[in-house]
This record gives sequence, C-alpha cells and structure tokens, in this order.
Amino acid sequence: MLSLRGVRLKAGEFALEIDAEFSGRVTGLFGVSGSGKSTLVEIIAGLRRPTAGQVMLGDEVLTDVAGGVHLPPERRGIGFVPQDGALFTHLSVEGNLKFAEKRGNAVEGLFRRAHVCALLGIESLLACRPATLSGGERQRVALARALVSAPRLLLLDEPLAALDAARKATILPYLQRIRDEFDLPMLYVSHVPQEMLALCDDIAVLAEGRLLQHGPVEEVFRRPTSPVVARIVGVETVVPGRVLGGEGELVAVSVGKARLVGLGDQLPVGASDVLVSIRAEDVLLVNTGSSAVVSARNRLSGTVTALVTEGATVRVELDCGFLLTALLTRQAIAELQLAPGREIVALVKAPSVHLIARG
Amino acid sequence: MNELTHVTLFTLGVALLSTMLILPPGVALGWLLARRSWPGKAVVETLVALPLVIPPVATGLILLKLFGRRGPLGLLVQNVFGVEIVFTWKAVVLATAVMSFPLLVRSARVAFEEVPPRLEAVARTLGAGPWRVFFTITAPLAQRGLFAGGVLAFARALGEFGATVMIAGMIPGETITLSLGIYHEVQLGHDNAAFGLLGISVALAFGAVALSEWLLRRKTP
Repeated sequence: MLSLRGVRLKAGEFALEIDAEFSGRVTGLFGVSGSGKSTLVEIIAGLRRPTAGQVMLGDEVLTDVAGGVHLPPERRGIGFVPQDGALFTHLSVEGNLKFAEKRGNAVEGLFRRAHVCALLGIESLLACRPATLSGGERQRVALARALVSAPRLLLLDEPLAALDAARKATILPYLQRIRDEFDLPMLYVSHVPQEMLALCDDIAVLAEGRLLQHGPVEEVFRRPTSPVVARIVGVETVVPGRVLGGEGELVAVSVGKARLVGLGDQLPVGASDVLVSIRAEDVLLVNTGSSAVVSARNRLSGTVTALVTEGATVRVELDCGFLLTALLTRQAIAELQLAPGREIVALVKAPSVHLIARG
Repeated sequence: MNELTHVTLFTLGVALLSTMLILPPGVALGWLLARRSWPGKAVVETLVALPLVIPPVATGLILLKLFGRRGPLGLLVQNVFGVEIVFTWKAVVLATAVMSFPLLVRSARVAFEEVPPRLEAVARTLGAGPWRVFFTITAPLAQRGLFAGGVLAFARALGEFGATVMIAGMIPGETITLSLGIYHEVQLGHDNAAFGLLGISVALAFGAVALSEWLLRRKTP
C-alpha cells in the first residue's frame, strides 16, 4: 500500500496538497493536464522533493520531510514509465533491458528477462536500436525495462498518450497482462476514461493539485461527489457484464438482471467479461405506458431511486436490473413528474452502450 | 633533431597536455552549469567566458601578474612545489589551457543540455546511482559534443599566441611554439623559415579537423 500523508509542494502558482492511501491493484490517477498528476508521480518516484509530508510504501518510509528522510530514486524500487518511454537511444533494446537488470536479483522468477520479453512480445526486437522501433514497440520495451528491474510499484505516466488510437488498442492488452501476471501494484496516470475502465480497480481524481475523489472506478464514474469531478470524468454508468452472443455487429450482454444490446466492433474476438459504460446524457426517459415505436435498441423498465440536482441538470438514479444513471434538465424532471419510487422506462441506443474488454 | 621538428613536437605536446589538463575540470564545470543551479553560478559563468572576450594579450598580462615571481599564485606555486612558471614551457601550457578552457566548457555545457533529463530520471528509477547515470547515460549521450569541445580546445591551444607571448616570452628552444615562431622569424627577416612554420601549422589544423570529422562520422549510429 502506498500512503501519502500531508504531501505538499509549492512551485510558483501551482500548489499540490495530497492525503491519500492507494491500496488497489491498479489505481488510476485521473485529471486534466496541469492537475498535478505528473508532479505527484515524480514525488512518489523520488525524482522531486515535496516541501512537506510523508510518502510510505508498505511500512517503509520513502520520504519524510519533517524527519529529513529522502530515499533516492535508485533505492526505492519503483518502476517509472513516462509518456515517451524514455528509452536510452545509445543502447540497443537488449542494452536497455540489461541496464535495468543490474539492480534486482531478477534472474529467477517472474521478472526474469526471458519471461518479461515473452509476455510483451519483444523477443525479436532485442538487437534493434530504439530509433528504429515504432511507437507501440517503444512503449512495450519501456514497460519491459521497468519490469526487469523487479519493482515493488509501477508508475505509468500516460504511457499510451503518444500513440494513435489503433496502437493504443494493441498496447492495452499488454497492460492488462502485466496487471494479471505480476503481483505488482500500479499507479496509472491518464485522462482517458476508456483506459481507466479497462485497467483500473480504483481511481483518484485530481484537479489543481488536490485529490477530489477516490474510490472504485464504477463508483466514481457513476456518482461524482462534486460538479468539478463530474465535469472532469463525465457521469457514466459503468457495470460489469457478460457477453451472451452477437448478431452481426450487435452484441448482447447480460448486466445484473437486465439484458443490453451494444456495438461490439471495439471488442476483441472471444471476449466474455466486459465493462458496460453508458454516459448519463445518452439515457432517455419516457413514461411507462407510452407505446410509441422507438429506434433505441434498449428499452429498460425501472424505478427511480434518487434525484441529485447539480446546477441546471439533475442526476437521476434508476434501478432497472442494474443501477443506471441518467442526466436530465430540471425542466424535464418537472414535466415527467419524476420522484423517488416512480416507475419509468429508460431508452438507450445501441451505439451508446460502450463495451470495454476487461482482458 | 632539427629546429622545425622540435617546434612542431613542442607545440603538439603543449596543446595535448593543456587539453588533457582542462578536460576533467572543463567537463565537470560544463555539467554543473547545465544541470545544477548554485549561488555564484553567474559569476563563474562570466569568469570562464572572460578569456573569449577580452584580448588574449590582456589575459596574458593578468596571468603574468598572478603567476609572476611576486604574484600571489606565483609565490604559492613556488613555495608549495618549488617551481617557477613564467618564461618556462609550463607558462605556455598555462596560457593555452586558460585560453581554450572557455571553448571546452561551452561545448560541454551545450552537450549536456541536449541530453533529456527524463532519461537520467528514468535511469535513476531503474536502480542506477548518480555516478552510474553520468557514466552510462549522460556522458555517452553527450559524447559527440564533448569530443567536439575537446578538438576545439586542442585547435585553440595549437594556435594560441597573445597570452603565451606575455607570460612565456619568446625563448628559442624553450617556449617557442609554431605561432610564436612565425612571428619571431618574420621579425628577424627569415621569411622562408616563417613559411615553413606556416605550412606545418596549416597541415596540423587540417589534420585535426579531418580527424575529428572522421571520428564523428564513425560514431554516428
């Protein structure tokens, strides 16, 4: 477990102030640029000294400003993969891996080079120079290099940000493999909700140097605790589902007691466990009894469980076999006469049902 | 050994020795200027750049006053090592070293600034201490710039005149280098001897540039 106690850093206008405990397998650090994500990662890695506070990994004190403790980065055993991979350009891929190996006793076990290379599919690249690799290959080598150093914690600072959408989709499964193969806590920095959903157990939302919300992924996306968080992450229903079968590009999934139809073109072949995400503004509500024929493929009967007003909009929480969140204007709420306990029908178009493989 | 060979070998030896002497402090200072901020940095920067902007003869005069028989540093060296510097071959080395130092420091600084700090940071997280990072990441990535700085300093040392003539004088067989020799021979009206020295100077400069080009090209991956 990684604990940050009263960690503060002031740099000009920017002030970071964090108290948090990260205990999930993969914790997502979510925030727009300038929110302090990268600064926080550098503090954890020991590359930057905070002006106050304590950083602990398990029982070990890494940084304690008051106590005058600052373990240098090379003695922390914390792997760090930045956005551009930061491969050593004067060394071959193998040279890059060997550089990292000198630290750990990773000759045996999961972190040994042969195993890591096989896992990331880079055996054939060992003799190459970094300059000759594609963006995706570079990131895989950077991940491998961090792993062969046998770290106790892996910091991933937007490792997919420099890649195009197609490449991202090819790297994500490798990250999932690392997550599932190694008993290694990870901190994953990103501002892309889809990546968070595919990888993380918990997420922490950061804005202007402060931690606004921290909790299980589904919880944060469904119930942002403040309008700021809602604006940053977007309100979404995120629920685990199971693929039942597909007809063409449409895929049917069971979610809770309900059955949904979504587009499966982003889904790898044979995926069975998925996360279903539906943005709150994509959910339409109609009164029960309305018999109009609609184009939306999903028609779900449910009960209103709660109404939460946020400025001009109202978050409507529904139970329709699973918990679904809808975002409506106050005017719409009044017209539909919505109140907790009221029965209602929710409509969701199939393209609005996003299916994300959980690997 | 004839006089021409002697002067040539002496000049090469002095340039080589002075380059070797300034290499460690020059590279270290270049790194400090590129990577660290410390009090007095601006002062040191200016001091180091001074020989580039003030006339070499003026630099020579300052050195003469500092290292002369009654100069503060001259007395110090005399008392500690028992050697005299001015008007000996050591003065030639001192003058060329001081004059080429700024060129080396500048090249080293630029070379280090071009190494992405991110690579060094990642190297630290992979378990390498500061010294290992310097010798296995920073220096190899900066090697072309460092090498170019070394060649530049060497070339500057080969041609140094103003400061040398002030602090070492023109003592045949003792402090005369190629450039001092050219002036000396012309003064004496020995134009042919001067042309001979000129030819060697041009050949040496040509050789140094060619060698550096070849080495640089060879190191390109």
